[in-house]
Amino acid sequence: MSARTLGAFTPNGKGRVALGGEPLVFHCNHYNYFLQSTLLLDPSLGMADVIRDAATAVVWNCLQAGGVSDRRQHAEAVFSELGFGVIDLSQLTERGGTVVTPSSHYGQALVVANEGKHFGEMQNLFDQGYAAAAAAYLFGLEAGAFSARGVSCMSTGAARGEISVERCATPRAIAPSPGMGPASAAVTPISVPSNIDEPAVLAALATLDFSGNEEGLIPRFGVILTRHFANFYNRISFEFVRRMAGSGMEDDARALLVEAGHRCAFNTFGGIMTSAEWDAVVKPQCKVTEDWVHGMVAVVNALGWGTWRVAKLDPATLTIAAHDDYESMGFLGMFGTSTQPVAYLLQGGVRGLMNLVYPGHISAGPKLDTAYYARVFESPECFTSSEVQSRAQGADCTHVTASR
Amino acid sequence: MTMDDLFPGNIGRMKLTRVILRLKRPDLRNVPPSQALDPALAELLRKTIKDLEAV
Repeated sequence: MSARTLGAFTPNGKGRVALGGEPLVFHCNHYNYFLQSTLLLDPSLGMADVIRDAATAVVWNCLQAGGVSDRRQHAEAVFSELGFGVIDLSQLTERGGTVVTPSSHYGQALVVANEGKHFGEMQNLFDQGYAAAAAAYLFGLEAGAFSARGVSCMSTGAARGEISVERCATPRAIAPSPGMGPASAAVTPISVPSNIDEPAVLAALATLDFSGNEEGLIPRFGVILTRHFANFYNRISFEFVRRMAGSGMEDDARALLVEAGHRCAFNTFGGIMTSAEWDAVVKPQCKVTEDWVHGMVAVVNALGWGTWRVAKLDPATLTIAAHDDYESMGFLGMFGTSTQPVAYLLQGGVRGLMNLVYPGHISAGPKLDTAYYARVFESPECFTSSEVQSRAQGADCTHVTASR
Repeated sequence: MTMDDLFPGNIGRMKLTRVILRLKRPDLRNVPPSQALDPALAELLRKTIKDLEAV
């Protein structure tokens, strides 16, 4: 695999990392599948266009700020490095052209998350938005200069993805990404003692390679990861809720976004806590059950989601203080102060962590399948969660509590 | 056929939420769980569940 020219990854010191000014977060194929399937539940909402344009906004921003001279190589390299697959932009001209993806996270890894079943509709909406952004970047045009549509996608059984990119007569308006969002308060030190040495965990994780392989994919911990754009998730999630306004189903929409985070926790946290890397680095430090929670919190702090601190933990309750949580920071950057909590992924993640450790007995190494998920989710010991304090509503940091 | 039959437990509750969004029918949340469903509604719900599983 030849070296990729990417621009610089820039940590903010509070658990977030940016590439080309765009904050990045690790998320798995299960989250990407469940989130997208939720957003597309009602086709009349027009969320497919929102997904494409959200991709275009963050990718165009990221590439523009990269400071790389070979633009095509740069755009192709970022796609692969971040785990989206392989993208061939060689046929693009200033008028558009065909973009090919011989491998694709959204084309292939979502099929894995869908229990191996192909889809009736193309799932590569992110790739389409990426292709439109890359075309604009290649030819020095504004983000909305091109539109893109799927021609074929591996998610529906095609051998490769093909995307048709067309130059727009008039550039489309694309909602801009806020980048890292506003500055925030300092992260508080760890206050609840445990047997976990978080700096040592973070140092060990820093030695692992999380770049896309030759297929531009990141298979790790039993899932297929992406190192994705935080403001992509933010835009599509917030716009989904906004489009539900007045429908009487806003709370249902929010509940499903939390559920997407819960599934993310089950698969990604579960995969991590049953991995060889966990066994080597974290498990030897786990002397009591609560250490499994503290250990996973340490790992979360390497995912780009912000910095989590355990504020309270007992077998019936976990409160996480999340500094710079990417959802709240994205909301503040996009819309300003919120009237409601917006950290859906965070709520699902905290709940999922407690469900894994307590009713799920993750320390026993269960098989992470749908039967396990059902068993834990239906357990009378199952946790729920709520966002009791929100950075997006003006607090210094976000607090989420999971309780039975 | 009741809502409890079609949407049992916590997983059923989340499945019902997806069906509500798909059908744009927030009123379904208020259907008593153990009340016998109108056959046409039961059939609609069964079909929607199947559609969502097929994606």
